[in-house]
Amino acid sequence: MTKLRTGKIDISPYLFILPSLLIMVAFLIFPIARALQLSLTDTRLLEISKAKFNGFDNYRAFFSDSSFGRVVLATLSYVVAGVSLTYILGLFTASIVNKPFWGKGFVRTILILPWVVPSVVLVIIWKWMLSSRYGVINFFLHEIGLIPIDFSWLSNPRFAMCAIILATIWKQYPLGLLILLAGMQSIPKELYEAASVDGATAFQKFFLITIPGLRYVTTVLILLLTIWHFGNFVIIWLMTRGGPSDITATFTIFTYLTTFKFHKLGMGASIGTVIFIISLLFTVIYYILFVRKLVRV
Amino acid sequence: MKGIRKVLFFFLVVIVCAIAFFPFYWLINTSLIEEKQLFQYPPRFFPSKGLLSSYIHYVLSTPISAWLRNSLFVGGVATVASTIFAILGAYSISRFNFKGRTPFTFLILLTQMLPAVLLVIPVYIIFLTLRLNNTLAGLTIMYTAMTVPIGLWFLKGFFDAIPIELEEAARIDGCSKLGILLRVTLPLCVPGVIATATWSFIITWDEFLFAYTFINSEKLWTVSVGLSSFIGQYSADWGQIMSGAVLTTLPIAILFMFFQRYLVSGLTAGSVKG
Amino acid sequence: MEWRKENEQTASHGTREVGIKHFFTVEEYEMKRQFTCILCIALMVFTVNLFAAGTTEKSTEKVTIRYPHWFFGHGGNFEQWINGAVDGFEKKYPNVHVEREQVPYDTYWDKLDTGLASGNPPDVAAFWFNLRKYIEAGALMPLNDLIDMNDVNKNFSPFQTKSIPEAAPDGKTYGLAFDTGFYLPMYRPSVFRSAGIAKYATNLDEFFTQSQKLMTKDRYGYAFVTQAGNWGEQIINLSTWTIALGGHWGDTKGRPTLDSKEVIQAVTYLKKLFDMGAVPKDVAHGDFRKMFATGHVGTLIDGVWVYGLANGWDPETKTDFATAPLPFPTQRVAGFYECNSIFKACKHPKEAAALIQFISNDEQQQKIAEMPHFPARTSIFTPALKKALIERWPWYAEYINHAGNGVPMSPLSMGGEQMVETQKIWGKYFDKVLFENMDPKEAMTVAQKEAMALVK
Repeated sequence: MTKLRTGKIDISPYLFILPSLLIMVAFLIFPIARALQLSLTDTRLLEISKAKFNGFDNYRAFFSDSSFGRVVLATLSYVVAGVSLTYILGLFTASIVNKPFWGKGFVRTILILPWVVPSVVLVIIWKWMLSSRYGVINFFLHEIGLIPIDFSWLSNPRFAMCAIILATIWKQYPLGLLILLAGMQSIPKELYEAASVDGATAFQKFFLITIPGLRYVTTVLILLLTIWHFGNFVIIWLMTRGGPSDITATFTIFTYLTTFKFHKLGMGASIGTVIFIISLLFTVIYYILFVRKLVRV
Repeated sequence: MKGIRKVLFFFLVVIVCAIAFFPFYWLINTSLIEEKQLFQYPPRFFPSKGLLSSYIHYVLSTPISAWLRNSLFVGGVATVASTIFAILGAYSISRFNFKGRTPFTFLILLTQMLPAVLLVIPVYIIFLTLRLNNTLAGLTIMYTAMTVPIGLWFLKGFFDAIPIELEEAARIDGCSKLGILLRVTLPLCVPGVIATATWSFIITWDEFLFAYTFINSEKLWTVSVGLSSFIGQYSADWGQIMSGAVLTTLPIAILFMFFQRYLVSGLTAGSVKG
Repeated sequence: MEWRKENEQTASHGTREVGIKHFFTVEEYEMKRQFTCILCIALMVFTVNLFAAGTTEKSTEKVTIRYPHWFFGHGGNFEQWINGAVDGFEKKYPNVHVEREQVPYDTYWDKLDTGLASGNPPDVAAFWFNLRKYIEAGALMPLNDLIDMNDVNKNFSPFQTKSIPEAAPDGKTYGLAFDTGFYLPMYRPSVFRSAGIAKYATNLDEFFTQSQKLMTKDRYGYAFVTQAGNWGEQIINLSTWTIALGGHWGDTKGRPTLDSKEVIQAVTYLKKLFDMGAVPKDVAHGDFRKMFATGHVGTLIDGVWVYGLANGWDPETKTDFATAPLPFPTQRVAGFYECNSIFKACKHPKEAAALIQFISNDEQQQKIAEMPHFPARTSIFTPALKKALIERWPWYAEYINHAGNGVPMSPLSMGGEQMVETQKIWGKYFDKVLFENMDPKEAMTVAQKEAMALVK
């Protein structure tokens, strides 16, 4: 990929990025810096001016909180299960839509539709469907004898996170579908034809051609999904507020609680910073592995 | 044999579609059931109220039309602004080699990973200084800031996919950089631009935390916040909440139906690298 | 247009597999560009307009008082009452304009906090037991010199005369109550008749039997907050039971007493009801109040406002509604006040004080009683009024009985933020008891330990 040579000092590239840069620095970067600064103080929401520097006390307090283990576990399980299940479901549906058949466009539209549902609506629908007595999901499961009457998903320590993940993957799998479908469509048809000639089965074609061919888009997708799951707040908060007993309290939930309910801005900022640092690690890894390669070429 | 496989495939497609669509059916169904009949076991599978009495009543008795207008305004303006900013910025990264290009690219990725919960309070304080609190203008600016990074990322991919040779001719003709962008590159990239804009708009329609924190006046709420206000200690009208949910989802779903082919083709063009 | 044709040629031989189409001719593009320019200008104009619109200030000689309240959007009687009260106030003081801000109850104090944190508080706002938190933050101004304290001390409920000063470290009065609330047992006689229950339970054993009897395929015996993670609302039920059992969850020195006998008992009894299947799952107040109104929950221990809510959901409840004394070893009723307070940053304290006094004057307080709701100015309960109210609503009598002896639901001397965190700890371990079958005594002991760590 060649670039336009801009011999002498030419400020036009900078002019092009100026609007984006300004708005990003003013409303994203600068606030984060302020939040980082806050995390090293004991600032309380209602008495911001009385803040005192207290080093890493906030971080220490967070790491020694009795629910810390649950927070880590909740975040990990949400991210890992959410990302992997979304990916698998996306792969499955992309495979279906990749085949030519009558009504494919319509099917594709139906399958992608869950993605546009606003989070608030998503939670409302799923909370109602998962209602212990009046929910339709329990109705089906109870009628086929899988669960007792009045089974509560959202207050069950073992199934609360499952319910949240279920609602999440319903909303997010279309993203997987879209991106993996795009990837599938770029795999040269000749590869499949050659494999057919060699007598490969559908299974072999899938695992030896499709999956390797999707390597790049898989990485893009996994990264996008991980970032999104990691930072997701609304769905978990509106479904369980991190309950029961902090079992579904991910880092973001804990940040919100600490900042807005307990008014410990300093400590809330420190938890948020932990999220940020982990995201940063992901960015660095992704950048080194993929973006750098493309920029240099 | 082939016939059976086809039939099996057909059934598979139907089942998958049914599962994907079921929550939508349940949403609409619940919004059209009399309140009293909602609290029964087994649940009702068919509506018992008319479309008119549910939705029209909801529209007339709640500020949802104002909320829809607000979401449309905030989302629309933010999308247009961020897409314009992103087009300019992405073109620059894609075509020019300048000092600070690498840090800027890194910055784009970085800003996509900032958790909203961490940003809220510092931004609120900034808005207060700028007298933007409790205004739709402030929220619009924040949404623009939020969607610019992803727009930059997408559009860079789309621009990268267009061979530089196509622009050489215009460059030789003495066209300015902006001119090349507008006359040559952009027209080739329209699906990508539409895809990016659609994506951004969907994100702003869905957004909750900032809208919830920055806007206090009920008449300035966006649809997400407005809808969430119906659940609480003193109200539990599920039928009404479902009606509101339907009305909140309908605009974005319709918009999506129109533009989804761009999203698909856009992602196809953009995500795939050589 | 040589270069354009050249591009077309190149594009059609391009290596990209995606169909790149030329969407516009150059002329169309010029038009589009001009249109975009105009659009941008229009957007900027629009935005600036909105900017200006969002920062309106009343620039007349009128004094403006910003007053957010959840009543403004509560609908029904509450909205009617407060609008009536503010209307009356504005009529009496024509030079004062009250900017009525409607904020839903569940987000009320969140909104207040963000406003306060960013240096933008309103002039007057409503509080209840979180009053102390705001006093400690130095956000409010004492009212002792602004309002008629003689009137207050003589005519108001003990919640005003005792609890509100107790909430302040300096003992001053930082709020003027406009209503009070008590949690008492309520039921629908028709439901009880159909369940074959002749009389409301008079002790806890009977209460359990009663709950069992009320349970049918379509109905639960009782309800409390079983929505996981909703400790903010759970605390109401937990305190109600603890207080009625004779105890409290905090002492007079602001220390938690989560491992006290009564707290453990409360947790144990509620767990028992839960295990019996007598209570609905995943519910919070909004849900179970509606279930009660529609006959799906047999009884609640709740406040006067449920009557109005129930009427909206099932008009039968207008006459099919009754209350009973607490089926507990004591008749200690959990209660609270809601008061109006003035922020220190308020530029017009005299007018603000006039507003809050108007809202709590005889006329307005009587209107509250007739909502029905429960006033803070208990002196309005003249024998005549009592008779009229009880004739209209026989069940109201039980509430009047407790007008003078409600127990504050929250420990008054517990620091503001410490109280919220203590509540969360209690809720967290209560959830463990309910959903993870942790032993109540063990759970409360651990909870107490964690809560004590917050005490400075």
